Amino acid sequence: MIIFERVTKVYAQRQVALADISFNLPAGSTIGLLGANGSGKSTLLRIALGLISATAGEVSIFGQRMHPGARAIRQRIGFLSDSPAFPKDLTAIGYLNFVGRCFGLEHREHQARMGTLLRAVGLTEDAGRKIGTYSTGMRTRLGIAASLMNDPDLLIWDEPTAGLDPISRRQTLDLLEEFRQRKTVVLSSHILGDIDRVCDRLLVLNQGQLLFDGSRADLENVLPKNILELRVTGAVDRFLSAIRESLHREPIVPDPGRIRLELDVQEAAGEIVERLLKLARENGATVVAVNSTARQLEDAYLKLITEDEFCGFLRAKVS
Amino acid sequence: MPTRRLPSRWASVLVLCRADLAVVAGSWLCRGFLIASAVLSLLTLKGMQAEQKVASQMLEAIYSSYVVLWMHAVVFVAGAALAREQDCLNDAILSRGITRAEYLIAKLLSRSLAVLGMIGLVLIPASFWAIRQDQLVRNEGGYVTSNARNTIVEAWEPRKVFAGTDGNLLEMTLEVGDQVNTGDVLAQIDDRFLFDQLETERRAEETALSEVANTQRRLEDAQRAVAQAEDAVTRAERALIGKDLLSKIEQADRETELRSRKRDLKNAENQYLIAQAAVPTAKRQVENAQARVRDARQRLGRTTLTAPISGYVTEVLVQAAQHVALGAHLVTIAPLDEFQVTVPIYRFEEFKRLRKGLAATIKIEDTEYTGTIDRLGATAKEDRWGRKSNYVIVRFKGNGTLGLLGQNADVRLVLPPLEAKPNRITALYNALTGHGTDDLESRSASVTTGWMLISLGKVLGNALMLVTLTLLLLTLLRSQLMAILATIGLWHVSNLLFDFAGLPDLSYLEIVRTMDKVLAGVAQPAHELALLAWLAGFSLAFAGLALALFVFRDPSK
Repeated sequence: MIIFERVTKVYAQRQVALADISFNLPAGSTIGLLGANGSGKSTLLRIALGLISATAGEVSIFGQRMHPGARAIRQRIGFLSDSPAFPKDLTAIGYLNFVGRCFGLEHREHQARMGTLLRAVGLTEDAGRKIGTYSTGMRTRLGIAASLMNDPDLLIWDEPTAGLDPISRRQTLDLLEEFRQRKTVVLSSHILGDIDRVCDRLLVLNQGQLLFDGSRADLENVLPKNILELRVTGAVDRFLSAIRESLHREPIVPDPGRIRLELDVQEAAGEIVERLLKLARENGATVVAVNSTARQLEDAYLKLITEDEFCGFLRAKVS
Repeated sequence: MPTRRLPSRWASVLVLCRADLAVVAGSWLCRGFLIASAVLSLLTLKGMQAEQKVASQMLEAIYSSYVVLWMHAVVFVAGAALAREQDCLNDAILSRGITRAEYLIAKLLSRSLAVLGMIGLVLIPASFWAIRQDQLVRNEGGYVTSNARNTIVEAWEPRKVFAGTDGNLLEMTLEVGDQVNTGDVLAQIDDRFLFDQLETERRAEETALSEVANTQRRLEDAQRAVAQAEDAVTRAERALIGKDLLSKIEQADRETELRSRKRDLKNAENQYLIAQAAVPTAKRQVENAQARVRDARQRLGRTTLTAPISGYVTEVLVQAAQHVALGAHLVTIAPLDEFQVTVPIYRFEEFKRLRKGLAATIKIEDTEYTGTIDRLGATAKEDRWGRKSNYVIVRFKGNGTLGLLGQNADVRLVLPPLEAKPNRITALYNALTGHGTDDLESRSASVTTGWMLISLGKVLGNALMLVTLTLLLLTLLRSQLMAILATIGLWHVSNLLFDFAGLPDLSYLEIVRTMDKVLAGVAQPAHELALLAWLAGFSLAFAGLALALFVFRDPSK
């Protein structure tokens, strides 16, 4: 469905936005694109859409080569930008009318779709106002509606929940859940919880490099350990010493009163917890709460990024 | 995968074009340009119509104003083409199935159509309205008439009144437009000096007459003196008779006396001759004095200036107390109710058909007068564009209407039908094509539709070239302000650039300078059409470059 073959993008011979990216995303999947600010996510999405040209490499979508003139491919894609911008003097209705005509929709069809979409994104009451008066969240919702006008086969959404209130955010995620069954979705977001919820395949970018391409389970395996977190009061230092002596592990103290222990996948968390409770009682500490984070996505992501930034020369993969 | 009906490329271009034209229609910049140019053009045309200017002068004025002034507005209209989407081109437009080429083609089309439409909306009706001023019309008799505008009503054979003598004008109460009758006193020259002069001449005459009497007396005296001298000589000769009887001393005395008397006779005869010659001289002096007296009397008689004819005073060239020289032109009087107009005839074929006595209709505002052709001009004249025209003088009566002199008049001359009879083949050809008849294309018009369209084409061609140049610079510089300034700068140095490129006629200053020649039809059609082709070529080249640049460069946003 979406094939990137050794794609590189260099801006004005000054900035390398993407470096030798290759991946192959099947149809019908929901792909999450993770990366820090400036990692190249938006550039990748725009190259996928054909809005900008790659400096090197090839992009294929729907089995056809993507380039800025590939209008037939783009007619089947719905795009939402990370900071949606529209002609300020148009109203939402006016803009969606324009989009409908661009996609060649029949008048009745696109009027019907426009009404449905405006209702779905909650802009019915503000549809007659000029877009220049919209808030960030309203523009995002309008962008969602516009991206769905042509009932696309492929959705490329960049930060779809940015600026949305909790209810709108939830509705958007519910929508994405629906699309998982029917469309191919490429989703870029900073909010790992959103990615975690809807995506079954993940790409992790950092400074233009593709660090990870795989399923959610594959990413979790980056972190070979479970994390056990305890909130402790009382003689915390004695408790920490006892852990070192008895369990032969080095606890991590991220905050005073919080202790984290990494457990191997094979270890039974229950037994360890029981032993820790006993040690606490014996050493004058009180365990207030116990939490097993079970290999958080965020931790795996952070591990990937951290390792990449400290790799130095090892980051250059010559193939 | 469900089948999907995709819009064609031109459908996408059309959607974008319509959207941009809607933006143009709602733009106050464009509305202001349209309203301001229309109002100013209208005012210019109406003002020139009031001054009875011909169509070519009207069109030259408004076309030049567009080339020099309104082209700046064209640049601003074109410069705003990409402004609306400059922050959202990728996100809001290109991501909706539109390619870069479709987008820019739509912009080029919409802005070109908008500019050409706004200019054409004003200039096209204005041009045809102006041309109607000079068109041929058919009269009731079915004959084609030659229509001329801007002729001036002049007096028929006006009479000039000159000063018969020099002197100071005692009074001059005449004003232009005053009506006078034959014999009316027009002016009075101060005659006191002339009276003195007459008196002087009369005294000189009297002196001359007394001198004649004196010379007569002197002649008589001389005559008597001669007679006396002759007697004395006779006596002296008698005294010498019998000189042998005299002593030598007495002989010598008498011979001396004789010689002395002969000398006296000679002197008297000389005096007589002198006196005789003085008489005709004195008589001639008398004649001269008498002539001067007559002159003085005549001059005295010419100090009173009277009107030679009845009519209107059309010129007063002197004022009271002014010294006038002998023969100075003082006033001009036009005959009552007789007028003439000089009618230019631009087509020699029409002029050949005119004859003395043909009817003419002279229209001054809403009043018509009938007249006839009095004479045909033997020479051709040149107008300010260098066009030659023949002319006829039409004479007419004013029917007692005052205030006609100097008015602008429209004159219609009825042309007699063509004398040549075509043969059958020519008649058939004429019937099929409409040629050979006195059709409305024959003219005394100052500009034809064809030349008007060529001039209008140059104005529109310039506008199109500026639109495409502005869009090229917009895609190159990616800044609206810089693109507008660069276009205006290039426009103003285009004279040098086109000179350097060997196309000096394309510069806007040259277009303005030769506008009158083009409208007047004295330019070369092939050359003008070539210029139009060059303008179109430059426009296409700029559009192509802009398209190539836009397609192959990633948009900034």
